[in-house]
Amino acid sequence: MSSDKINYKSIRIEEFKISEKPFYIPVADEINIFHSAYKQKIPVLLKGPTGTGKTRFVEYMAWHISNIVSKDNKKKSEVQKEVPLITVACHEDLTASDLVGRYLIDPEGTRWVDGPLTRAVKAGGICYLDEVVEARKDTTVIIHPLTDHRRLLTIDKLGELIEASEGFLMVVSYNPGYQNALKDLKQSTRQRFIAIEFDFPPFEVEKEIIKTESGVNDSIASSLATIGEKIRNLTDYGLTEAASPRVLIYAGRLIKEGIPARRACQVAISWGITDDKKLHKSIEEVISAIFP
Amino acid sequence: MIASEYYNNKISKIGNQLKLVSQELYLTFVSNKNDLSKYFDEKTLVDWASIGLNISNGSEKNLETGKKFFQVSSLINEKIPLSTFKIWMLTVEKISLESTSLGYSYLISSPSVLKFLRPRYLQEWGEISKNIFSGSWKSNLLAAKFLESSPFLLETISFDDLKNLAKYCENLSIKSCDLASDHLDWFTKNLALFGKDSSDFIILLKKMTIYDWREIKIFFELLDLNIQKNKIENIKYLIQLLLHFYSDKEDKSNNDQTKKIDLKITNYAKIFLINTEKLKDLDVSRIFNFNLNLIKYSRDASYNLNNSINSLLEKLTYRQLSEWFNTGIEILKKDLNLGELYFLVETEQSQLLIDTLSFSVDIEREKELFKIYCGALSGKDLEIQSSEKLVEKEIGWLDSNLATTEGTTIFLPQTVKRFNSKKENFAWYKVIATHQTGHVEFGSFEFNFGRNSSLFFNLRFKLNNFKFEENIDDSEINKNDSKSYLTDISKFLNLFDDSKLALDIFTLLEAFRIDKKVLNVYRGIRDDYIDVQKSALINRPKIEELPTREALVEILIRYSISPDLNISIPSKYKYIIKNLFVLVNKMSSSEAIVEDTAEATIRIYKILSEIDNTLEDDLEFEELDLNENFQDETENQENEEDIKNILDYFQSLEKDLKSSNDKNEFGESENVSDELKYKSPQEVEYRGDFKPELSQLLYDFQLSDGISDGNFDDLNLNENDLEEMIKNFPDIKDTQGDQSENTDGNVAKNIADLIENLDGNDSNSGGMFSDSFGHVDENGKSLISSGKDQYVYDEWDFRAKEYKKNWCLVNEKKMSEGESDFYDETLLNYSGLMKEIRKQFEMIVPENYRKIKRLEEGEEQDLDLVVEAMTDLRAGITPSEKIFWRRNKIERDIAVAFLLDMSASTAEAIENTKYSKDDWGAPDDPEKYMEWLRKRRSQGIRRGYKRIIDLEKEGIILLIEALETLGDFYGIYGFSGYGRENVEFFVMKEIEEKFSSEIAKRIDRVSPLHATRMGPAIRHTIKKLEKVEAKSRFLFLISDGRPQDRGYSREGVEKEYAVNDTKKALQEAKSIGVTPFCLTVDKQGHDYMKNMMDDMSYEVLDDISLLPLRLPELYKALTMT
Repeated sequence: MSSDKINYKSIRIEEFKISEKPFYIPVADEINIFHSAYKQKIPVLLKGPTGTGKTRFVEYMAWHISNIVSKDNKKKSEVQKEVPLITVACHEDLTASDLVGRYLIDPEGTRWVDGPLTRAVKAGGICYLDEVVEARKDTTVIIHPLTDHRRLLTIDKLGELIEASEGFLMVVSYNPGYQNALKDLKQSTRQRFIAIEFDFPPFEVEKEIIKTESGVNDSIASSLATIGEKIRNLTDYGLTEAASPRVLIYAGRLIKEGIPARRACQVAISWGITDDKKLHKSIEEVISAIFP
Repeated sequence: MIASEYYNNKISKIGNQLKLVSQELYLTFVSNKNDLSKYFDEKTLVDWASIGLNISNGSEKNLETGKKFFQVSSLINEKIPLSTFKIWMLTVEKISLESTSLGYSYLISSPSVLKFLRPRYLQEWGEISKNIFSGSWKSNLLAAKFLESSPFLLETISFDDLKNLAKYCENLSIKSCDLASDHLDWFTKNLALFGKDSSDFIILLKKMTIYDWREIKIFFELLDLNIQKNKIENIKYLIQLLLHFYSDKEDKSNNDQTKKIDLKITNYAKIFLINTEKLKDLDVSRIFNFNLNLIKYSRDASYNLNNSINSLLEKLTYRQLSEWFNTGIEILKKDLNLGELYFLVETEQSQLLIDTLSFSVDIEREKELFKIYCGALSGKDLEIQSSEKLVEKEIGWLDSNLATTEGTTIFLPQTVKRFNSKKENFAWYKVIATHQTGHVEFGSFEFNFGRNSSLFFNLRFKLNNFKFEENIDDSEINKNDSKSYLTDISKFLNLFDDSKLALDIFTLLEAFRIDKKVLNVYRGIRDDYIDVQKSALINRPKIEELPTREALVEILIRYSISPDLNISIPSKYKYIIKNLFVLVNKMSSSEAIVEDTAEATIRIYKILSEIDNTLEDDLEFEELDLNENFQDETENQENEEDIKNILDYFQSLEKDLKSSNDKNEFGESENVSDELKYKSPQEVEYRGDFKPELSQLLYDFQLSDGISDGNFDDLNLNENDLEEMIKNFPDIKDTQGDQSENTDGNVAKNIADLIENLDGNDSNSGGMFSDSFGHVDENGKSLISSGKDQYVYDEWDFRAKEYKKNWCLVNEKKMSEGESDFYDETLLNYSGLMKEIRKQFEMIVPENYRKIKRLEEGEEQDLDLVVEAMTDLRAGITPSEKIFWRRNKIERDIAVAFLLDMSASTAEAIENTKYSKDDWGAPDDPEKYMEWLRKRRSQGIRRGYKRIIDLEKEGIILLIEALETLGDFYGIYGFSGYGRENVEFFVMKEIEEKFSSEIAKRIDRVSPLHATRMGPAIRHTIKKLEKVEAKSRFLFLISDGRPQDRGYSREGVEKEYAVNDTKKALQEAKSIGVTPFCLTVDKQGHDYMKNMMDDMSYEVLDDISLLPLRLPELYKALTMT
């Protein structure tokens, strides 16, 4: 056996903390709202189309709470714990035990392993369930007692109730665009959360985001933001999802790497968001009107 | 008595003779004689008997014929009058004597032929058949075959056609009897395919036997091949063309000096069929028309055209092709040879024209692209149309080569062929489209008199006050001037004495503003844009030759097109021009809005109107150095003094006007100078035809359409007002020149019409169902079906609690075909929604085969779940028992029939339910009104006036697309009618029919007709569903109101009769396992639907506009259970 070790960084999920300030430009008072909700232990629901910064916002808030809170409370307790961020991407086969934990077989018999949610509850972190509607319905049984005044996690198989630690907060996200009669949040679930809506940012903000994230100059960023704005006008013409800030940033990054602007937009925006040839042609005319 | 005895003797004598021939024959004779003697007089009976005897004499075949004669006689006698019978009898005799076997065929075919043939033709039919017989045994067989095929042929063709067919057989039999005989079989089998074209087909064949009989065999092989490929339509076109093939031979058959080898008809046919094989129906019909036109001049030219048509269609649009074709026809008329080569694309001219045309950019090809492009730029749902469409409307736009817009539609020239490359033409097109879209995007039509400009002190308000103050004491004028203007722009232009000058300034400033905005935002087309601008400067009028004021306007226009350009200007006005330029330049600010354009217009107007419009010969010109002139920007800041100057100027003008009005009666003013009447400058092509006043008027109305049902009253708008307004339109005044005022009146009328249409007051709706239809007594008797596609149905009488037997007559018709445009447009307009629906429907299919986990029993254990359960066991927890999985095999086996209500009421325009009547509180003040309208616009009202039926159609179209992904069987039917004897039932698509473009075209023809007798239509649909084998069957009824018809919703019992019959019909459906579902858009539907639908499901759609969206959803929900 070779002794070549592959170097990689591995951390336990409940120890994952955002140590560097993520880039986030607030559109409205969402930082304040989230912060207040965190202090008041009110779970948060983030709604909005893909690529509008929901995940980035959660990361930012995890950092924000860890750093800003600790400064504010300096007098009270010098050692404010940093808040871990535990993200679970939900899919249609995600069951309650995937969240809570399960018994595994080992040589001596069985061994209990905590799931990510249990770990978050114990560690007092922010547990972010991305695309929560995708998860199996039995997850709601666990989510409900955790998200109201009880803040309890029931672990059936252990016969235990775990009280959530001080810093625990559940944050879920979903995209109403994909909404499908079968997969909608139940009212009883919805009403346990406060909701923050995400949408495409206003022109100036988007321009700033593109500029910072991709490193392009002001004029290119402004053009990309214009393209985004124009393409979003097309949802009536057969676009299922409009161009998100994310694809605009990708286009920007390619431009930064030296790809010609029109080509970068074609691969990052036009071809990415639709397969419709007619739309490609029209979108590319828009792009070529904006980028020389 | 004696006579009778005489005849009796005769009869018995014949009887005896018959007995001698054959006992059997005699018996047949006797049994039929007894039967017929009831009808025949004695003489006829004897004649009859003797004919029988006459034809029976001879061989075995004669005997058979005689026997048949006696047998058939009574059958025939039932069907035809005695006089005709006598003739028939003689015909039998005549034919039989000529050929017994022929007589036999005549006899056996006579009864069945009578189903289709009038008795009086019986004899002629015999005669024409006999003509085929020329003595040979082959021709005998042929004639017999003809007789026997006649009943089948007559099912589809008329007797005249049959006569021609006989002639054809006769002609052909001279050459080849076998061929003719084969063809008879062929006709019996295939002639029905030709429908009403079969007459022409037969005539053509007849001609072919005369001129071209050798080609016939090949021709039929060709037909067979194409019938196999299902290209009947193309064959029909071909037949029409070929009919012209022999026209010249017929005309001048003596004048036989053919200069070259004649084109063979089969070669022509082959080329036509091969080249049209893969084309769309629309293209084929167009090509047919070309050929029809061409073949009159030259068959060879037409042949050549067909040879080159495929490559032409690739390169050219239909319109371009027409242009090329017409040029060719002209050449052909002059020089036949050259023309024929032209159509083979072998002449230089032909090739060159194709190149130019194919380089050009045509609106038809780019419409879709630009619709989305302009939509993306402006964020509004814009239509793209050819400018011609607008000019045709005659509402003030006159030049179909100029682009323009009125805020909701971008009008572009039909074609652009300025350059010799497609790229350049397209770039030009894109520039003008972008400029027009700029007017929409940057708000040219949202001019609001009351809104503050962002760069100027608002002089408009003050000027408006002058107008009022000046007239305040003069009640007469005051009444006129304080009237509410139709648009804000009119109000603005009305501030100026020379509104034409004001409009020209406004137009150039606004165009400049838009150019600047476009160039700023859309940097990608900058190069093309600037190229276009540069070329716009060529061919401008010479400044030196213009009178001063016009020269200054021209300078301004050039400056606005290209500010960097060095312009030579008259030195005398250098400083004035400098000031003008500064004002123009303000429009390039990113903050400039349309109100700034207005303010700048006021300032420039003041400067220009102070300069006399005279020709000054002694002007010195110099190049203006732009750099030098614009260094002192700061100085140009407007100060109070400047403003006061302008105000004073306008106030004085106002006073002058008033005094000159007073003086007017005393004749011309003394101020006779050499001042010329101001003329508008030459337009700038790429900027198009900008008509702010008219556009704003239309724009505002289109926003408000369909909301109110009395816009005219609310706005006090009537034709006279419009006429007045249009007379005041500076641009129209200009273009109409000195023409009589009638033209203005026309324009006004056209606009008024247009607006009325927009308003949704369709005069066609309602009132369709009148008493003019023929009445059948309601208390009358049962009806019987008298045709192939007629069906009778019972109707339920709820008071008598019994069915009225055979009470309704349903006429089933195949819907005729329209254009597929509606279909395509619907798909385009709803492409977003369509994607969504299709996605959802696609998801249904895999859901049927999905692996279902966590079941207590199933196909197999799920390994993961078993491990989990075992772990739980070891850990001492109760494991889950749900450890199995199973594949869910629910196969869809669904047949559904959609039944559309095509009653007259579906012609109603849909009211936009988003705005209820209470919401209708339009402010009286025009300014506020416009603002109010604009607000509505921003709330997203869509333009367009749609009828209920359109939404029904749209819903169905979306559903079709969805259903095609599912593979369910579905039929689409429509119904309407008037009275119980006239229930019209239209077939758009039969359940077992495959979807094709014809179906899209049939849907186009669905339109409001008469009444709504639902019962029989439902029963007829049930009958169709009954024939289909499917696990689940559905009947989906889409209607707009309660069932009603003459005698259906009878008085006294109100509408209950109709409702109950419909209910009964639906129950009948249920009883045979068809699930009915009813979707109604009648808001009053809740009351009777509950009764009518009983325990069956239905939905009342409150918001009609949701129909296209809701229909697929409902379908999905309905069939998923």
